Amino acid sequence: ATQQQQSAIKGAKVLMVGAGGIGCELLKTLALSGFEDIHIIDMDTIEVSNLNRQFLFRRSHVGQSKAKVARDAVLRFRPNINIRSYHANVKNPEFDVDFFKQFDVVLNGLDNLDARRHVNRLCLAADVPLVESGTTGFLGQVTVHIKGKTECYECQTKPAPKTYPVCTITSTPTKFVHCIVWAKDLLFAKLFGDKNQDNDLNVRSNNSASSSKETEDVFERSEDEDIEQYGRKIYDHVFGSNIEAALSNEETWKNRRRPRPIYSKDVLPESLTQQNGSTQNCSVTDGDLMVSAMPSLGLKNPQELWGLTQNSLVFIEALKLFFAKRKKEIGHLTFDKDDQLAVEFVTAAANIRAESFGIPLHSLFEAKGIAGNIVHAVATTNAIIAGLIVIEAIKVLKKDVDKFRMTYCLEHPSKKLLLMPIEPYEPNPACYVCSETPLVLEINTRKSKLRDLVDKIVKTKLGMNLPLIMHGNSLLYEVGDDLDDIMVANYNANLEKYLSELPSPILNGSILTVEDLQQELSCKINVKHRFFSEILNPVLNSVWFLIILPSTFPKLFHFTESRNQDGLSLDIILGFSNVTIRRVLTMFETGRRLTHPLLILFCHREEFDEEKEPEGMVLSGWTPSPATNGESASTSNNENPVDVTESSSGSEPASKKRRLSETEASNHKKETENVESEDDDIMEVENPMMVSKKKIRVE
Amino acid sequence: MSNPQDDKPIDQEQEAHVILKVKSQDGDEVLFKNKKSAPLKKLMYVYCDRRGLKLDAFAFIFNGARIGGLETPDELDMEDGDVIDACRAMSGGLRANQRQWSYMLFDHNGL
Repeated sequence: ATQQQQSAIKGAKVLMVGAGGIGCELLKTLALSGFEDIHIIDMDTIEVSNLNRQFLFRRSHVGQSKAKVARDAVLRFRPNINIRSYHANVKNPEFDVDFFKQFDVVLNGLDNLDARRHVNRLCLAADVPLVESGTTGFLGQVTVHIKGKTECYECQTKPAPKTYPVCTITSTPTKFVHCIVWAKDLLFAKLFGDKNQDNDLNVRSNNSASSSKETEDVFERSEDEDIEQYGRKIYDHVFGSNIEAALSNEETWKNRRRPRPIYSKDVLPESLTQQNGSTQNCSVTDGDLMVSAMPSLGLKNPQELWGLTQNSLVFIEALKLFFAKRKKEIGHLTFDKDDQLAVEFVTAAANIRAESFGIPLHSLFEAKGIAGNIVHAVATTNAIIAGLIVIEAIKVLKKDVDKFRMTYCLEHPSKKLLLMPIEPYEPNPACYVCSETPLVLEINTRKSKLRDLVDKIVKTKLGMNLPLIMHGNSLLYEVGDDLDDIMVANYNANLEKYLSELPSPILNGSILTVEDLQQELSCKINVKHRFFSEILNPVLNSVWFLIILPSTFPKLFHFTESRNQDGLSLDIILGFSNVTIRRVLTMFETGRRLTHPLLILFCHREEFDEEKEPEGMVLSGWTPSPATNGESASTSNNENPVDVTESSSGSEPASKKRRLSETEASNHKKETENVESEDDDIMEVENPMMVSKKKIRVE
Repeated sequence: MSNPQDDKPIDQEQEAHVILKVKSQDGDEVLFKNKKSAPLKKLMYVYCDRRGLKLDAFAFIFNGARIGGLETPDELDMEDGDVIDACRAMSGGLRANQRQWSYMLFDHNGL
């Protein structure tokens, strides 16, 4: 067996994508395991910060190509093997399907989702096995992807960091990180960032509608207003009255610790003017990033924990310094972890908020780590992962399909093991990349331009590099080098047109073919026009009851059906949720007759919610979730997604909402067999992560 | 919060449920009580929910195999105290502009 293994390794031609943390370890392990033909692609150059863990590089190499230096370093102890390096982006057109076809296996050591998706598609198109990997801190994993045998990289959605549950940040923080996010992304952005950007800083309370006008103005500083006064006003607003406003919402605090409003007069001396002098003469440095509030307050150690008063002083002082020293930048500042003053301000603000909510305080150093999302890379993890990649690669070369494993690294042992091997999964039949399942795009075809479709969906969500869009036989859009000017002008003109006004109009029910020739990926998109009638607006935005009498039921259906041909979708007209309409349709199709009046409660929102669906379009099917049933699928389509908070009371309205849209009269429930009784299947016994230890029943 | 099981005899309730431990890669443990005949998707959903992550952010692993949402504790022969491991795929890379998962909070729109 070993001889067979040796010959498999010797004869193999492998492609490594990425020569960074994993890549260095991988290349070394491959070379020492006997691989003799290795190609490396990496577009990066070596930086000083790489040197602590990417052992093939030395200080003298800083600035040079990673792929090339790694090759040279390995050739020094394995001079007789063939290594080829490419200092290029793997997404470049030269790395096409034919390029990938020459390899027996592709090994990924990448650092971003985009490139991983691209490589995955090329491997699928070229039918080359892919061994995928990734690490962060102590954690990591290795997976094997072989077309038709195991799932592809995109069969499971990969969580892309985006935003956060807004209500946890704005009103119910339970961890220090929530306070940091609040201070960094809300407060800091509000005070020093783009004023025009929407901001959830103000706590939503019951009477927010009435108070929203005046709260807007708190953050405006009039020309002659004293900075300290302004700082105190902000302080009192965000840590005092905002908290108090939130407290008035009793429902929120039933199962939570109530926060304590903090006002500046309680923690700070009446006037800080004596320190004004120091403000003037401190920080005579010229660099903006060097301005600091700490020296004037006598704070030196960034690892020291500040108390409430110190934090409050830093808050006011940092705010003052921003206005005194960096006034020009205000309005377009974004948080940067290397910006000392910004870090001080965010640390102080987060700590004051943490104090208010009874969350343990953190030092500047810790806060900086959290705010900058710094997770330290661990060289050992990379080495372990690289070893696992080689083990899997050898299995792939020996075609030991049954022995493939995907392995996760654990930080704490499970069954005394730190590695957890799992049998690879079957391909997901609903995956749009490796199967032919069409996607569904809900979009307002009269208000969206082709450019929106290309930018927001095809490039961003589908991750296509050189897309081509076809509707029927007509080509609507294409990117490539070999296009003539007339075509380019034509496509550019198309980009600015509304979908419904294109040469070949995209309307409700249109089927688009979107292809990427480089990735050899083609998928179909079924377009569903989402129409919003201004007349129906007040009706559809509220909760309504609809009683369907047995005698009107068939007529009702005909009504909706005839309207449907106008290009409106069925559920829009009556404000049904998808689930309800599906059930009604099933009843109709199976020839069931209503024997009792049917009561439908619905709350419906048809227009794209700017907060939840900022792009004004919804693509479904591209992130298939294995564990969803009909209900949750419909949730993503046209109702507010379940508003997740970390406590029972917070999720109450959401669950009510869901019920509303799905509740039918009990007689209906009996008629549809597939309605399962949803109660008490699961119950959370104890949750150490939650503040309230209360038992929570999950709907 | 009311529990509709309350009026049933206790032994029957114990019979019907199994207590499972969901353990994450960093050692966090959460206990769940799940009906033996109920699909595990809800447990998975609630767990992701609590961690502030999308529904399929985690792979739930039991006895070396991933659990599908439709499987039930009965089908998997789960007993009280059994551990389900929740693992996440890491994407690596330590560029300053990239957020790392430990402190990432996620968007719920896809649920």
